[in-house]
Amino acid sequence: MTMTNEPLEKRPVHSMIPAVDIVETANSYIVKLDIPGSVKEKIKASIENSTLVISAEALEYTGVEKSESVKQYRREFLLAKDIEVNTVDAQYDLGVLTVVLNKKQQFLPKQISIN
Amino acid sequence: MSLIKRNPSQNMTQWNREFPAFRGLQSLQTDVNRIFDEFFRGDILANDTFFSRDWNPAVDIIENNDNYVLKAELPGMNKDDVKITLENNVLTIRGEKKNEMETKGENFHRVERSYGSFERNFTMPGTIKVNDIDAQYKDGVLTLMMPKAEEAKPKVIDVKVK
Repeated sequence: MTMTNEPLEKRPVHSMIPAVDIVETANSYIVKLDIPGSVKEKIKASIENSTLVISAEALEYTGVEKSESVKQYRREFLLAKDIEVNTVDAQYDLGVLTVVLNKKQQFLPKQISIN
Repeated sequence: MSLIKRNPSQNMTQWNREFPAFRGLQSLQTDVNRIFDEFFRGDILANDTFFSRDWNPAVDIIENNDNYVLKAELPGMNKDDVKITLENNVLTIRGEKKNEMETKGENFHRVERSYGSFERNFTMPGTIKVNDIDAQYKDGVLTLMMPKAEEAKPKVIDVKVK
């Protein structure tokens, strides 16, 4: 199966909502989305109006050449105020997109020593 | 025939910009859509393993002239954790995805992705050349190319009309 240059709009499109895990650690939020069968170049992640938007495309094999359809993944997350939007990191591996959202410095847990 | 879901999120984005208060409504709709997706994806009526296994990966099986092609969505799995066997023309895919997340000092806000063991069985509709099966795992998708044995291929018989 290869990605061809044929415009995607011409193919049947199936909209998908990826399953997500969101885990909060001391310094960050880790967001994992199942997006099987895509490639790094077909995945877009952006932050706009404090909303994280993930969209991706994967080809569906139908067994007949030139009749492949497209799975379109999309999901939006409203971000909390404690997220540092300038240091967001995303990686795609084994069909899973992992987005790490760091917390702002002033929201990190601090040890306060007593004098 | 296939069911194609309408995608309201395109129109909703514009809507959101103008009325931020409705954003929560959209995420509610997204969640409801997802629940429907999972319900229908589960093959509830057809699959006897629904209640006994942790998860049920989505599978496509396609037949063309020369091959049966199986695609299974196994995002986040290592290929060494997937076992495929073919016995008496029954194809079995089983595996286990371990939850890699530590539970110490972490808050789980959402856990929708599937973890644990799974097993799916498929009776193949025709004989397969067992030694020529090609299995590949890439980007979370397992693809099995199973060439048909000669007797399973469609035959064209010319009938002479006199």
